Amino acid sequence: MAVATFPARKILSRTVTYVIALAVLALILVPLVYAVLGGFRTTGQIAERPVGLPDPWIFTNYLGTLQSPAFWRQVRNSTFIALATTFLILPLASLAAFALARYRFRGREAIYTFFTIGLLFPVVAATLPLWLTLRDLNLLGNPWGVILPQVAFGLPVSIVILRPFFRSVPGDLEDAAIIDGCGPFRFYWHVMLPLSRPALSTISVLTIVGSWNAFLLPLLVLTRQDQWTLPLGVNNISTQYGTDTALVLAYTVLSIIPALILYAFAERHIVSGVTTGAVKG
Amino acid sequence: MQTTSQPVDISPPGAKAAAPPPLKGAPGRASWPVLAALILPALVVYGLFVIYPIVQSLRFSVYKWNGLGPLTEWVGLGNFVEALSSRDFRAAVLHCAIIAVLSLTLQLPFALALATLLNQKLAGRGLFRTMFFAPYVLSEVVTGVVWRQLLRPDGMADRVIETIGPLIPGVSEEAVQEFIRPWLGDPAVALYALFFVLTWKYFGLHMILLLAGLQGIPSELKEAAAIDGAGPWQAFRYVTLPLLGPTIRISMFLMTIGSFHVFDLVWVTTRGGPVGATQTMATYLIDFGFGRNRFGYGGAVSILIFAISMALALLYQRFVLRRDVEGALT
Amino acid sequence: MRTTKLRRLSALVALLALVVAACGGGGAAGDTSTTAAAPSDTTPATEAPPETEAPPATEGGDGGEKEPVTIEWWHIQNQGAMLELWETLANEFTEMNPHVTFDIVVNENEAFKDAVEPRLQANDPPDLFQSWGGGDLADQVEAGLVRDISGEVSGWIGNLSAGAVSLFEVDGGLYAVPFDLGMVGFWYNKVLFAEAGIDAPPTTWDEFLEDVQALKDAGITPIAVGGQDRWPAHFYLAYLILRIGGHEAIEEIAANRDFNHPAVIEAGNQLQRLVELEPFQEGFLASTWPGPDGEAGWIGTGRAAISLMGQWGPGEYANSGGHGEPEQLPSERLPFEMGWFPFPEVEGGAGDLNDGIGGGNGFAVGRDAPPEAIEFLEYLTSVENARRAGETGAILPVTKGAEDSVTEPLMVPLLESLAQSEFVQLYLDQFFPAAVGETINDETVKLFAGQSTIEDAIQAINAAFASS
Repeated sequence: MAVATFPARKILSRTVTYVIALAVLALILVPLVYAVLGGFRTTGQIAERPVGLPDPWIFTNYLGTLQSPAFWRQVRNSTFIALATTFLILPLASLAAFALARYRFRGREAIYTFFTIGLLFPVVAATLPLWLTLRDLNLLGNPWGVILPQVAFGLPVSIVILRPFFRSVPGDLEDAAIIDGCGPFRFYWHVMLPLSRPALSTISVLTIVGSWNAFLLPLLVLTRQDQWTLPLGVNNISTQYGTDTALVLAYTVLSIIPALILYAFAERHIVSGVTTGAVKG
Repeated sequence: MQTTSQPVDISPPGAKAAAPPPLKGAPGRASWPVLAALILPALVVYGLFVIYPIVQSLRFSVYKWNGLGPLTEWVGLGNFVEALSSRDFRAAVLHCAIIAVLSLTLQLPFALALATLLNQKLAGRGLFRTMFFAPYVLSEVVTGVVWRQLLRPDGMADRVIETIGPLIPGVSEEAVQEFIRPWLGDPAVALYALFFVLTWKYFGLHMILLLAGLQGIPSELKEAAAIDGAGPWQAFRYVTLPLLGPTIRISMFLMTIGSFHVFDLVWVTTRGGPVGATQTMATYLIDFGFGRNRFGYGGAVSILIFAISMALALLYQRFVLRRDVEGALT
Repeated sequence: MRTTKLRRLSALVALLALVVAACGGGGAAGDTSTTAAAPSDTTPATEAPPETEAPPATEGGDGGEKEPVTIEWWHIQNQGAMLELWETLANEFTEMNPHVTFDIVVNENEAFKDAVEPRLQANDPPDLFQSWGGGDLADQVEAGLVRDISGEVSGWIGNLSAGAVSLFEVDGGLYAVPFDLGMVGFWYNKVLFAEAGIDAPPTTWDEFLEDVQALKDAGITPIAVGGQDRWPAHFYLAYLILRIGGHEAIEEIAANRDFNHPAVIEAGNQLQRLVELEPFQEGFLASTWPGPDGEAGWIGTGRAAISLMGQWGPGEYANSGGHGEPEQLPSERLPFEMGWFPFPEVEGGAGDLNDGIGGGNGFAVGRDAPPEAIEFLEYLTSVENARRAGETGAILPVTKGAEDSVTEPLMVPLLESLAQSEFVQLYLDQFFPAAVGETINDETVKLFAGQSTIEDAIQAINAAFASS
């Protein structure tokens, strides 16, 4: 840094830097800590002193949620939908991206453009007609009514991420594979997929997070409460038991634990998914 | 995929395009059946659940239709006229625009400042980065539910302001009390309170993007600037900022588009209220189209949202991103 | 939809029949509020048991090998004594009919609307679900989502108040069975009124506004209203229209599909006078009806003095205020004394003090509901069980012979007023087609927020008429 020669100023700027960073950190953490601690309080305690430690510590909110079949059912539903979406998106997107990256054929760019157009369609605006389509297909009240559209709306970005990856694999490799008698599918399976593992992991993680947090589509499609996912459960409990702040907070906190665990383990992937390009830029 | 994932989703292609991959691989040839087997599954799912519904909405947007029975009552462009002349819809568009402008003028500089900060050698830098980005991974529903509790009248936010406010020189306790209001209940401030929550949730994404951009700037350049006698601010202004241009433009694009698509967080936090003060185009669509069984009208609103998004994207493409984004539309 | 409009209006007029039912009930409740249960239990018992026990008994007699049936039942009594009672009734019914199980889905009012709407639009109605009749029910009939049960219930529907039943009739068919009927009025905190030096409830709008000012001057939040839920605000506009223009005004509005009516404009002006006093609780535009920060919470914790609400008010004040046990009556749970007065007369208005805005709660029967669902409704509305509901103080049962089970003293003035009313108008947001009702709610809240004028509101509501 240019100021390196002025130790006093450096110390000052260091201090300012830390103060700012810690202030922002507090801004991030306080709501979360408030939610976690709130779950250990009673609603009465929260109403009396919005800021304060649990006194006494109440465990019934968390324990009650953990013993509630509805909560675990929602965990299972969320998990199933997230995994199914991911396991469908990976093959569909990678096969298409593979073809669009490695082969020359008429209409290739047109098809690619066709896919990328989807990037401009916000899911929210498409929801209403999509919902009608799902109704025609009898997919309302059915987890697949969430999974398939999530796959469809996830395809454009996945293809756009994967195509450059596939393209960057040197042609020599393919020539060698072809000489070894490797067909397109084997080349895809044995060469391309292993090489693009980082991109595939990134897509998986982003898909799982997106699906785990999805709200609008499940809200309109999963009409039966035994199919609800966690965000629907959290939203419902906060409307339903708005009276019981502590319970709402406990339920909410427990619902984010899986996402936080995923983040802790896959932060690298999430961040790299978001920034891969920017680093190069 | 939700509105939230949109920002994550779009960035890699745009960013990637900034450093075009070797296009001249060795695209070979394959037989049509093979190509079909590779592409068709994706194409079918995509066509059925993305393209077909959108085309459908074009069709029923010119009818008065409650979603049941055949399309019989043709109203021409009546639904579009109604939407465009509706005070509520126009307010929704305006709210989206306000969120976009605030994002560009406040959230972006904030994210850039933090990115610059974290680009220094700093103990605990990794932890800071992890924590700043964490809200982005939380669901909108959770964010909304928790913030709704925090922003309640006499809630935690008010107590914090009461405690911290008077510590600011020249601010009296009365002024602080005057300042405090029902953040989500006062139509005059609810949109700004909501923008605060949106910033809490999303600044981490932009910070991460910009941080990556900063890390890609060779330090020799800044050193060279320092040798030439440039102060830190000048180095930032004349070296860092221009080089960060592509990343900043990507962030701007994501922010603008995101502002016009925001739904989940609004729905959970305020439901578009109070009295429509935080209604966005998307909440308007769900409330007035879906919620009132007006599917024809909803179709027209959907089309309008598409049109506005598309226009914004193209404008950006044309005037701002041209140099950076090769992929998205071409 | 258009054809049902006038018919619905006539259904409302038929609410008059309620007067007959409520007269007896109101009187009894007033006279013997604490002892009514004992003697009256025996009187209806003579007619009740055959009605209620009969179907289950024959079921059992037919030989136990019945196809297992599940009844999906959505209700909104999500707290307190009614939640328990509904569950108990379902369990009892299952005991008598072992082949029947219940899938009970309980939601708070707004959560219910959110959750049931996609189900209905998906053409997949629950077997039994909360209904308020009116425009929503007519829409559901038109969409073929609900079943005409007039034939299936003909044997016992006569046991219920004809006025209440008529609320759920559409084009001569019956699509839901009522269990509750009442009227909206002002619930107020007597302690706070005394603090503000108000010794008698107001009988005119001007007096009401003076009292509001007096409360404000005493440092008390005069009125709590659930602005986010919107319908609690619409009661004010609806009542002002009714008091100013009389029921003729509402009939004209409905017939002409035109809100641009002198009574509406005057109602807007009078509402404006109230709004200018800034009488509502802090953040009222973000308040729901229930909940600690909701209208009910502000009343239940004694932070606000007045709430314009239906017969379900006291129970929710106690719930949201966090007082007492669900088994107790609301008046026992609340730590302060409350009272009720009808919406005051507006000087020079055509309406009568005892005419009301009101309505009922019922259970609509989904298109594919099993016959057992109807049998369960019979059980639920039997005199004996209606009395159990009435005894909670949260419901005003509509089964003949159950009226005097309402021992909640808070209900006495409401029942007396209801008994004297010659006209009860269904809540406007339910009365008109759904899109119009929603717009009425939206526009009323804008008036409350001081963000719009009655002329703007009329324009928006008429636009909704045109589009529905």
